[in-house]
Amino acid sequence: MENEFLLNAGVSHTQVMTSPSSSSAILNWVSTETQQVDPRLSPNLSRDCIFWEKSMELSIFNSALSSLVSSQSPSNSSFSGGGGDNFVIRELIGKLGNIGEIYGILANNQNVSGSCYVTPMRSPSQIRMSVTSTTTPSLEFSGDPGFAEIAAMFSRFGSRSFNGRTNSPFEINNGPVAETVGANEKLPRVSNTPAFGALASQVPAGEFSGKRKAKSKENSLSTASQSPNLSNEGEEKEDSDSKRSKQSVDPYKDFIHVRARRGQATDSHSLAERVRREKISERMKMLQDLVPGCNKVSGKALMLDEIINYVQSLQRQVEFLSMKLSSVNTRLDFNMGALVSKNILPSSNNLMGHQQVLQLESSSEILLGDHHNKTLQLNPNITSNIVVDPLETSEARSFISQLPTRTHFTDSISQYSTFSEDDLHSIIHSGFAQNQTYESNPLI
Amino acid sequence: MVDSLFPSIENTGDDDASPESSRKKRRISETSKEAETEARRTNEESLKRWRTNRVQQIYSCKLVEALRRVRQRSNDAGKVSGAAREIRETADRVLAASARGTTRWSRAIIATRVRARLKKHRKAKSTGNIKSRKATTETKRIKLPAVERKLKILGRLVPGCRKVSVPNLLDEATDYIAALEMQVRAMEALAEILATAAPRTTLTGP
Repeated sequence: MENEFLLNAGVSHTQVMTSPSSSSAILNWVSTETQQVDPRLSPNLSRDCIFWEKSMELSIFNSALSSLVSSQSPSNSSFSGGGGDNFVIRELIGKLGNIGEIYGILANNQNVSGSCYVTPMRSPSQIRMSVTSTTTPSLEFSGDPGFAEIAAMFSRFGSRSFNGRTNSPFEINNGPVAETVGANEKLPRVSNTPAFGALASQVPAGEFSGKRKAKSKENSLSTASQSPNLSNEGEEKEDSDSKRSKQSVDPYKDFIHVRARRGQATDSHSLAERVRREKISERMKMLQDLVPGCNKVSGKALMLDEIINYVQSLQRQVEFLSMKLSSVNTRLDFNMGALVSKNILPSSNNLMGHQQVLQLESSSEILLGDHHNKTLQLNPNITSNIVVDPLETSEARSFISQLPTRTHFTDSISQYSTFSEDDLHSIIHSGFAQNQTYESNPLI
Repeated sequence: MVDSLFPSIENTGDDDASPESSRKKRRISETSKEAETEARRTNEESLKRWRTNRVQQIYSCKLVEALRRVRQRSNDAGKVSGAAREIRETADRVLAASARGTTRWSRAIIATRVRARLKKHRKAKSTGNIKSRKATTETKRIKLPAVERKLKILGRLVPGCRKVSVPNLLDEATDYIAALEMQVRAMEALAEILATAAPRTTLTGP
């Protein structure tokens, strides 16, 4: 008896696609397909409980088929042959190891009718690819119109299942709903598919619209351009084409439009990542130009090291210079404004410089309200002023020539740290030794 | 003229008046068209302003004035110690002022002084307790990846940029480095001029 049922199950593997309501279809199919089991089948089929067991078997074989199909892709090719029924049957029988167990358990049950409602709920969740891949070849050897209808329906279902993640959760919900209806099985399936298509387009669009609100305007990508693409997906069958094609520029104006390059992932996440990475790398390049010695190193970490060192060294220099200025400040009271204003001249244009000098002088000496001429007369004590002043003009030229230009600065930056310490030492040890600091200055 | 260079500098968390917000709006409309090239160009232009002679002159003059004021104040107060720090802070403030408040670090520098002043006033009135510091050190130390650690360090170095996003931090660092270079150049020149022009006293060394 078990063998009988097993054979029946093997025969009825294609009946997976048929609804239990179409018992006539099953009978017809059985009669056309297999002759050897017919005499044994017909008495079986007359019984109602066998019918329900068959539906159970159907559900059981759903799971079997799912395992079969998912594990073996070449089995599809065997399905395609017209005379491949027997191969199919044998393969199925070969896979029926665990199914036999389940069947044994179920056969032992007294209230089979009750349990067979339960199992169909479970198994359709595993239908998935099995249904899809087997229906398409089964079209070839099904002579039944009703069967063909259902098979066609499943082919539509199957193509959608390629669409990945949005499908499977939906199908799980769909399956039990469809199965438990029983007689109306066809209709919900048919009606569900267009609904599913609509949902498929809605779900990603909903996702992305939510994303749009969450992201800031400047950082968001062409997620807007993604959503019309996906809505097309819902209508069409294959999305592998859309992955290949470039995305069109979107009419929405608030986002940065990014065009996915060829051969790169067009996922919105990866696009956003790419834009972010490009921004950061662009800024790192600018920093690289600014910081000397950054051209040799490659990689973010090393470059950041260099940048940090450079900033720290610049800050240390400022500290040192401020110390130096403070030491100079305490002694020099009067001439600062004049001297400074005269000497901070662009070396290029002297005529203009003179006017600027006057302007700078007047602006810088507002507080004290004295001119450099007066200081000379007011401070006879500081004879060195008089000494210095005639030298000033000549010294001014030398100063201007010695003013550290940008290139000088960047070249000597490596030397400067050591230089500053020498200078520091000289200042500390010799008090306010201007001579020494001046002599060490030619390094610049 | 210099202001026209500033419109597209990216600033986050502006709490300034309307010119900043209008610049922001302009920036958003701009970035929707061709973000990358525009931003880069304006960034480069904004960096070049730190290289001009004019900026250096302006800075030097302002610095001189500020130093003179500091000197006067210290003379009146009668103290000489801590002059270096004062001068550095003065120099930083002048630098921030010449940035015209378009960058985050410049605003932070100016703000710290205001906050310090307020704190001084408040301290005179009431004694505050410093408990908040200790709580932060008790948190669990998790090893961040190297790059992120360095970005944090960089954020601490640039004033006012601790909790700033990475691209903005890099922008701020770029501008800060350019400004610091200018500052060093100007102070060097100033120190030289003053040093050579100063009266050369005779040494009474060891």
